[in-house]
Amino acid sequence: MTVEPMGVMPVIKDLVVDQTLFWDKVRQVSPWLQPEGEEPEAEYLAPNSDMTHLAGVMSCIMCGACVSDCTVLEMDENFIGPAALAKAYRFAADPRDAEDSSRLAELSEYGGIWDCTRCYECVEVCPKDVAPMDRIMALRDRAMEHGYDKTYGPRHTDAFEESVAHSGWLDELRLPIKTFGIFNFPALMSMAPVGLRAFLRGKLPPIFHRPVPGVKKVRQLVKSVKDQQQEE
Amino acid sequence: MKYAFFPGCVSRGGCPELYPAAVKVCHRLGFELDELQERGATCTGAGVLQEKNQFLGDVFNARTFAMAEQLDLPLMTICSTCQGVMSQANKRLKDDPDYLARVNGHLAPEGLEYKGTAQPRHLLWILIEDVGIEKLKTFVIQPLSNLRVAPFYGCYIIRPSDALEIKLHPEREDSLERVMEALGAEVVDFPGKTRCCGFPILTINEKNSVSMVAKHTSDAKDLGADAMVTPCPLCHLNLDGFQPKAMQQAQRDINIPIIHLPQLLGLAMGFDPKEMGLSRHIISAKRVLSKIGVPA
Repeated sequence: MTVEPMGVMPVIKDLVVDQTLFWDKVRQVSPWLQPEGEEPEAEYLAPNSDMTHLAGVMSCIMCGACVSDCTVLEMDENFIGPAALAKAYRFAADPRDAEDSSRLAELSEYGGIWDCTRCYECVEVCPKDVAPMDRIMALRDRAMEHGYDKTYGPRHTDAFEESVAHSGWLDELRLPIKTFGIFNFPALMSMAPVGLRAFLRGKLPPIFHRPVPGVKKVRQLVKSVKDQQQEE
Repeated sequence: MKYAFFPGCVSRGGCPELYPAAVKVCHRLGFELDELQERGATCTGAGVLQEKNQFLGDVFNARTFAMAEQLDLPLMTICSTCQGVMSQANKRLKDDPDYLARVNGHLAPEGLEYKGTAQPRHLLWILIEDVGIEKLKTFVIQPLSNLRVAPFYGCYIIRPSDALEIKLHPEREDSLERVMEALGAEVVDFPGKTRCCGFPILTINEKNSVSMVAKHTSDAKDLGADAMVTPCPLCHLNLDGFQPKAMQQAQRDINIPIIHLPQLLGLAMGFDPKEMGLSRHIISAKRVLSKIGVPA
């Protein structure tokens, strides 16, 4: 077994690292309740049933293990990171918080929830089962529901779902085009050299994307699931 | 041995060289394959669909599992991402009978029901768990001696370890190295082997994604690897396809070939490199062939 100082953060001495980055990220997400309306005489109350799903994320002990192993923070300090995003979820999903929409708007910006690679490092190393990545995915879902769905991240998710629900499998050729937008020439042109190299090597996905056999059954299945979800 | 075979989208899409290579290698190993996507099985959702609609993803995967159950065949994948997403879905379905019943409610009109017995497994694990390392060695015609290879797993075949049942099957943790050694290759161990290739954020933050490609390919190269091998076609797409951009960004030469696991098996089994689709890579694999003494 090797004992090493934590990653991402600069080493001060031996195993001691400077955790400024960790705390700066946590502060960045305004980690406190922001309720609205008149202040109650005692506590802001919420029914137990609305709070139990937050018990997991509230067990975070701020140890920084997830930040230490985050594959994105290793490359880019601008990423808010797993610990702070889990904390952001804790407040965005709190029924007493009135700022959930503005929180989600901020978190949808560059360096926020869509920059996570979904690599599961944070889930694996967390000693308290906070599962930061799962919270980031839940924030993505909430952000899309609140209408923050115009950046490349949500556009990619929407295009992916549309492709799989329509043909049963992924149309890899059209996915980046739909993500960037067909008239987004700068983004498409930046991908052109990669596409051209792939084409010359015979490595492009099929131009004519055929649905899986019996795709009607898949479409019926999608309808059945979505109808039920709408009812709920 | 017969398997319900789930090739995934990328092995027939962005990495069209992977599907035929995997099928040829499986046939050489004596596997019979019943292809589930020919029976209408869908994409796993790749973790992307799950961001928006995890339930729909679980319904899709339960449907695939039910198809394998109906055939009474073990389920084989050839993609780390398919493997991970299926394992995670399977855990949710098996852990909660009420949830499974809800999912099955949607499968019933098609005459399908998932009973919870499927065990999706990657070809990499099947090589160790069903074929066995000693038996695998008997298929080697062209040992890969002289070839220094760095393993690159792909996140979803490593994490989350509970869904992938790594504790129950500890041999899965270093399966790639053991298979490489059985083929005669020299393993170049490097710290990036279980990190992220960056593919999931390629269209969202290309700079970070390409930084990951640059870091891992440079590290492997600097440690003296002639090639990297991966059981994940999504990792291949990024590490191979975006290596030219990575070289530009990092302002250095890298040029390390990225080999799919079935291609490495195929070379050791004496298949022609063209049959393994090695000419279809963005970073030329010629260096690998000259190292093992095979004409390109």
